[in-house]
Parts: sequence; C-alpha cells; structure tokens
Amino acid sequence: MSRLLRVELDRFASRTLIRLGVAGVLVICCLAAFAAWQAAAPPSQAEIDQAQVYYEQALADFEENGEQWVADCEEGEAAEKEIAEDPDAVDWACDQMEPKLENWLGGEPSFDRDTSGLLTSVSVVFVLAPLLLAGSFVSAEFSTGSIGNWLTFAPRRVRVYLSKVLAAAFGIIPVAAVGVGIMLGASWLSYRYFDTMDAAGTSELSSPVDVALRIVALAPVVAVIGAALGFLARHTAAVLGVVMGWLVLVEVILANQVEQLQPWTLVTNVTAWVQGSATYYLTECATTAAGSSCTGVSHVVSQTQGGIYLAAVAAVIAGAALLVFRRRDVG
Amino acid sequence: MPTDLAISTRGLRKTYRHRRGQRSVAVGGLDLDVPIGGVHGFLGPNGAGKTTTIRMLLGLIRADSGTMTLFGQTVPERLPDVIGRVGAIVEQPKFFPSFSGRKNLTMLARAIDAPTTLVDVVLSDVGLLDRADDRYKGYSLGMKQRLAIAATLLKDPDLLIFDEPTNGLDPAGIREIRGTMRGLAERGKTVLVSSHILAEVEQVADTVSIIARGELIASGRVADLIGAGAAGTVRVGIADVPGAQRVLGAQGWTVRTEGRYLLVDGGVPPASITEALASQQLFVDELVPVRVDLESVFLELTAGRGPGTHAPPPAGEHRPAHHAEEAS
Repeated sequence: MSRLLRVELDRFASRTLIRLGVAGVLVICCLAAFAAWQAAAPPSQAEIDQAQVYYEQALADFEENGEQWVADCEEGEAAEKEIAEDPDAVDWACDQMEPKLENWLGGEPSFDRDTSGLLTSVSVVFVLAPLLLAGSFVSAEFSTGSIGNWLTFAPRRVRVYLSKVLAAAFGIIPVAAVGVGIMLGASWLSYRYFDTMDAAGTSELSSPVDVALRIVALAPVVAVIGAALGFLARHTAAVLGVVMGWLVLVEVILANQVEQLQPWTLVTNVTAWVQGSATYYLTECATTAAGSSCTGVSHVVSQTQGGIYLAAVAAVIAGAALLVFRRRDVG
Repeated sequence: MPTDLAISTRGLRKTYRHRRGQRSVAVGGLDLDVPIGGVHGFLGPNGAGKTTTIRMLLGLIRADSGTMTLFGQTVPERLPDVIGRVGAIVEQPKFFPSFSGRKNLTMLARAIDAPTTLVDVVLSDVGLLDRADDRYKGYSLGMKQRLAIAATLLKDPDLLIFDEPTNGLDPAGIREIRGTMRGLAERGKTVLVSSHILAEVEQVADTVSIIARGELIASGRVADLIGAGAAGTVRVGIADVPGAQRVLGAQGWTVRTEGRYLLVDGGVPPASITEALASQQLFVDELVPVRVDLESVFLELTAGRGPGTHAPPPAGEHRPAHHAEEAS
C-alpha cells in the first residue's frame, strides 16, 4: 500500500497539468500578497487630501440638509418599529448620519482583520483547485486507458483506490501550505514594514493564522472529493461538469429558490469552516394588526457544523466511489 | 496447486446490457485450456469474445458466471497471488502519455517492487533504450508495442498474453513481434496470442483455440487442425475433365469438379492419380496437393455461426466444439 502511495505521489508531482495548476494557484497567492501590501500601506498625503475634499463637500451638504435627512430616517425607523415583532431590534442608525473623514479613507489598516478577510476571499481557490486537480489526476487514467494496464500490475482495487485518493490528498497539502504561507507571510511583512500591524480596527473574523490552518486542512478533504469524483466520472471534463453543474444548479439557483437549503450548501459550510462561522438569512414574515411584514432574519452556521458537514460529504462520495470502482468493469 | 495448464476456463460467460435493455452475449460459456509452454493462438473474428475473455482473466471485467484459473489459481479471487506470473498487453498499449517510456516503466517497477535497474535492461531488450526519455505520446505504434512488451518483462512472467499484438504494425514490426513471441516460448514461457489474422498466428503458434460468438469451436495443435481440415485433397488440371473424372471415379475415389479442375479428396497419393490417368492415355497438365491453411479450416468451422463469424447461422443448427485430437 505504501509502495503504491509513493508511486502515486510521484505521478501526482510529475503530471504537467498538476504542475500548471499549482503554478496558477501560486500566482494567485502572489497577487493576493500584493493586495496585502497595498492594504497595509497607510493612506498617502494625496489620498488624504482627496478624502478631505470629499469629506468637506459631504459635510456641507449634511449641514444644509442633514436635519431633514435625520428626521426622515427617524420617521421610517419608527414606522418599522410599529410593525416589527421585536421593536428594540430595529436600528437604522439615524444618529450616525453625519459624515466622517474616515468614510473616505477606508479605515485604518489592521493586520488581523485585513489578512483574515484576504485569506477568506482567496479560500475559494483552495477549494476549486484541489477539486479539479485531484479529479483530473484520477480521471485522466480512465480516459487514457492506462488504469487497465496499471491494474494488470496492481490488481487489488481497494489498495489502488486508496493509493490514488491519498496521493491526491497528501499531494495537495504542500501546495496549500505554500500558497497560504505566501499570503500570510507577505501580509505580515507588509504590515510590519508600514508599521500598521497594531493600527485600530477589530476583526469579527478568526485570527489569520487560524484561518490559514483551516484552509490547509480543507484542501486535502476537497482533494479526496475531487479524486472520488474522478473515479465516478472517469473524465476530467465530466468532473468539471459535475462541479460546475452543482455550483450553478444547487448552490446558486436551488439555494435561492429554497432558502431552507442554505445551511446545507457547500458554500455556506466551507465559509463556516474557513471563517469560523457563516451567516445566512431566511425571510420570515409576520402579520400584525398593522399589516404583514417580512424581514431577513440572520442565522449562523458554526465552524463545527461546517467541519462535520464537509467531512461527511467527503466520506460519502469517497465511499460511493470505492464501491463503484471495486465492481465496475475497466475498459 | 500443480497443473499443466496456464489458463483454464469453464462455462465462462459475459453479457453486456445495452441502453435499451437488450443484452448481448460477448462470451457464452467458454471452455478454454491453454497448456503451459509454447505459443497458443487464441483465434476468432472481431467480436468473437477474445478480448473480453482476456479482460476477465486479468480481473478487468467481471464474468457473469463460470470459472477461470491461471496456473491453477482461481481468478479473480486469487489474482493478486498469481498476477506476478502474468504479463499482458490488452489491445493497444496504454501508458501515461505525458511521461517518458522510462518514467512509465519505473513507476510500474516500483509498483511491483521490481528493481528499477531492471527498467533499462528491459528497454534495451526491446530496443528502446535510446528513446527511453522521449514522451510516450510521441512514440510510434511499434514503439508503444515494444514498450508494452518491456513492461511485461519487468515481472519476468511465466505467461504472456498478447491481445492483437500486430494491429497497426508494419510488416517489419509484425515480424519483430512474431520473433519476440517465439523467443519467449523458447525460453520456456507460455505465450497466449489472440488474433483475427490467422495466417500470422499459424506461423508462430504451437496450439490454437478457435472461438466464435464467445464459444469454443476447435482447439488443438495447429498441425492436427490443418491435417483434420485438409484430408489430403489433390487438384488435377487436365484437358479432358469428364474423361478423367470417369477414370478416377472408377477407382472408387471421391472426385468433384471445380471449374476446369478436378479435386480428388481422401488423401489419394498424387502418384496413384497420374498412374490411373496415364493408363487410359490421359495426361495431366497440373497436379497440385491442395495446401490447407488455418484460415480455411477456420472459415469452414465458423461458417454459418452468425455475427462474430462470417455468415448467419441456419435456423436450429448447433455445432459442437471440434477438437483436433478427436478428429485426427
């Protein structure tokens, strides 16, 4: 088994498509690192001057019309409170309408907040890339027919299956680690360089290191799903079709049509795992004496649920692929 | 388990289901015995079930029913125990196209725990050493076949299975493959070669099994099969065909006409024919013992066996398998 695994890891590392994919991932990570550099930099004097101009214009406008705007805001807020189930929850922030300079400066840099946000936004790369690279790693063997030749040398199908799936999972870990390391390291160096590491700003997200570690842990799980899909679909294009079809039909269209599905979509659970939690909204309508009203009520998917959900999905797909590979004829 | 058979199948059956729910029989109760040693031809027209049988033996596809053994070990159950003794090329060789020939073989060697130093040895054996670092997808068909043979040699197998090994090869390549097969047999290996090109197999095989529509219809030594089919026919060219037919018929021999020739069946010695005709002042222009080859035996045996052979089967006809040992 370990012999086969070593051979498969060698094949994983030697495939041209895998190498191109890894290069693509690392390029994206380098671009993200550049974005971190820009985010870490404090605003230049020119940006401050420009912001000051916009701020003064807005302030003048507010001084002329602000009283009316606040009155309108409070009227609307009061109307909603009348029909709301929980009036105390209604807050339109009418007392914060006066413009502030930082509105045009984009807030001060914060390593924790900005880097966690950056890693979270780039995490989609560490979902799609392992899925497709692992899928092509396995399915290419079926589409070229080399799996038949391979099985005449290694006929124990369970071992062959495990060696390929584990090679895809283990092979993707260093890619994820290096990619995330580039972003994390570059971001840290940037904030240190500009001395904005401890600038104001709190993060609702986890610490960047935690996010990075969770992304690295996620990549092999997704690779297992991709490899299993490769065994089931037997063609890279088919794997791509399944992934894209699922994203469009289930994650976008169906999840929007049936809101109750949102806590069970891959996107929500991946977000929950990476970010620490994920918020989704369900429309809840209430009828009162004043009429009926509908509001979007937020719900939270915890990181634990996200992790368990992803592990379960991977286990089910991998198990199904193993059963199919054991029984299905190899052409 | 000691056995004198490299391959044995009994009642081996495989059907395929098509999209409309119809089932087609690829192999229909095949009884096949391949003795240890020598080259065994596995013959049949396209679609007769040769490749399906080989794939079942190698565990690539599942049989619906029946039993199979390789060197006495039941497969697919005991296949992992015996696969080290079997090297196979099924249809076209298929390796990882973007890897070099050497890389492909090195991975296979590592998978079976063979020393990687053996890779260059087998590449040299098949004359591919100087192209070993080229990508497999750049190889010609002949080179691919040679690489596949090199791959099988990594195991130093006792049984080599070649499925249509000369498909797409030029005459030189065909001759090379034939020489390789004979060479392996002379080194004590058993070679099973499946083909629909009978003349090619006739030149290299010691024994053959002929199948049609997934059933065995004949098996035995090539010489015996040809002998059984030939039965000693002599073709006679002569000016007075009716007169000669009367004279030869009067000898009690079976005589028939074929155009301007007479065919004398039954193993009558050519000298007796000339003697009988000359005694009546009839002199032959041409006297040729008809050479029966494997192809004509095959065509005779498979005639009327429907798809996968060469003609549709007459209603209700069923022909039993023909064994050369019994006929000869």
